[in-house]
Amino acid sequence: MLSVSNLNFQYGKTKVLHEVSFDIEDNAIVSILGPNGVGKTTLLRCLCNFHRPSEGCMTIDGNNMTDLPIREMAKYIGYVPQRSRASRTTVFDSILIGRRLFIKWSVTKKDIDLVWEIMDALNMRSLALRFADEISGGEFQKAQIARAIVQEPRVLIMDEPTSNLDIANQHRTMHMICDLVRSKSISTVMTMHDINLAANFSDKLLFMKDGRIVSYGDKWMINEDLVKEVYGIDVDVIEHKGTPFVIPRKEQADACLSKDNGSGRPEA
Amino acid sequence: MPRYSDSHAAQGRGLISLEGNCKGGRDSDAYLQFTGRKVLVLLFMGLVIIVVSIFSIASGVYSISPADVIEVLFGGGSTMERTVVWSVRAPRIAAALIVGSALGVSGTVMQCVLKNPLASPYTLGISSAAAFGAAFSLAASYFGLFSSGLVGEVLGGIYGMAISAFVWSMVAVMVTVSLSKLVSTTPESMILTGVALGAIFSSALSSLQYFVDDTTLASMVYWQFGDLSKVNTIKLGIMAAATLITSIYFVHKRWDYNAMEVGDDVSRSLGIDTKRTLIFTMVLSSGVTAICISMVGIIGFVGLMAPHFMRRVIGGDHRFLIPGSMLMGASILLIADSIGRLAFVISFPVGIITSFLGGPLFILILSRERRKTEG
Repeated sequence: MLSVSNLNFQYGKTKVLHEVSFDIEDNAIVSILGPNGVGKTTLLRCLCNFHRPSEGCMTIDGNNMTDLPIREMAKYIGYVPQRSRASRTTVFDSILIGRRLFIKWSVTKKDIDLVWEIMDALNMRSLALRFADEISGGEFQKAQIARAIVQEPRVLIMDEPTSNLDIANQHRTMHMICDLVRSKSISTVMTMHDINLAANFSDKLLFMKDGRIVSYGDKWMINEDLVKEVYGIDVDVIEHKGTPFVIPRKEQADACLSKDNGSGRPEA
Repeated sequence: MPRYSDSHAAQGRGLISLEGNCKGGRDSDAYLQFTGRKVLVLLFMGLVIIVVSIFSIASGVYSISPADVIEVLFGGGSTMERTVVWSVRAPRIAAALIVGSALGVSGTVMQCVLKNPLASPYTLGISSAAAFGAAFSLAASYFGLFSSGLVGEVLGGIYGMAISAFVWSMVAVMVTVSLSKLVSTTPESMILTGVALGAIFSSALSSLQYFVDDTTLASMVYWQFGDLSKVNTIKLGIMAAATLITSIYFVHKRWDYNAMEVGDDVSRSLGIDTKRTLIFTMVLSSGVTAICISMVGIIGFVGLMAPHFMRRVIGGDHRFLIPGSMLMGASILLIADSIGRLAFVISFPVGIITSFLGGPLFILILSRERRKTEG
């Protein structure tokens, strides 16, 4: 449904994405993984048409995405940034903004009902009349996700959706998001830093390094060599409750600590 | 394909439908009550403006009772009362309401699209640019530029001042918007740019004043005092039309402004052409400001105070903030003009009153905000 072929992108003369190609099927949840600065967010921004690729092609339902007008793109893609401003509006209204494309002059009952439905699914009904700039970072992140879902896009794109959440809320929120996008038949592409969380909740994982795709497949492709190649660290990969689980080796952790030199600064 | 907690999903959906029906009605009612309260605040403000307007029309050297004012407004009253109300006081009150609304709404939308709570026509240097533009038109007439033909006809008189004020305010807008887009500017640096622009246009204005004769100089200086007694029916008509047209656009874009408050990326993902909205908003808000300034002179701080007060009262939802800021701007200017007209032996220009009241009040608000942030 969403297809990317030979995508290249550069900031000025610095090439950030090299020959990136992959396909995303209907209703699939795909996590993009890789170290900081490999081009994950840039790839997401290209998928949202915020960046125009220097070469390559992106299609959604057979339509060339770079040719789609901004309003048409909004019918296909919903976007949740890593950070955004909290405005002085209620949480309900900040989610209702997601219906912008469908609101003509006034809000319809369908718009309001959908907002309540998604707030229920994300367990945030009690926040409805709180001001968005007064809730916690995690709650605001959930409100952002809810806003993108009420937009009813074909593809939901999220930049590190769990970055503001503690471990309990990470799992809770990912459960809620996955249930919700599956029930709404929305495909999802998100960048993640936690391989284990991504393996738990994604259908496919896309590993990137230096602007290139290293590997793209299901969670069972995760192994010691792949993690070593992408992140440059030694890990053990074990199977835990039917899912691969990545554990950094102790000597790896010790090596990191010894570099710390006891002063909080790496050795020269 | 992994099947994550299908039972959980089913449970979740069940929860939605059950609770949606049970609690949904209550919460929907609470939301409607919440928005209804905002509408009530707006209606109350409208009522206050009507009452204050009637009392303001009634008060003055020739005193008329409020009941007689209402009678005159509905076509009755003595000849003297009709003359005082319709020829002297009502136009001035109407000007306060129109200019206050225009400045209030301009400040609101500027603060939104520039994502800068300190933005307003006055702090961005747009008012200074418009003041220079109007003086430029007077100086051009003095030096005999554009003195003949259609250009001279158009650029002479109040239309020339309005057009010139508009053109020069657009120059200030272009500088501000370009800087905010090209260079990563903080709210404070954008305001400092406005201060710099204000200084440039003020010195340019002083240069013009240096070279013109005493009569033109007097016109320029008198014009700079924001004073609502300068209006006539034609000026009122032009300002009302400009305010109405731009306000319709701003109200039409209220959802876009709500989205743009969150950020440009989010707005674009919602199908909003942010660049186009930014440019149209800045051009229209500066345009209506320039038109008002060219008619009544410089009136500062209303565009800054009105949205700031209203955000504290009814929040940042532009569905309510836009009409609220218009009503607040109208109230501020109406009260300031009434004070200037009634509290002193002579009628005091309203521009001086708003600056006297607005400056210290805004510093007070800023210091409170700072304390709140630090707390």
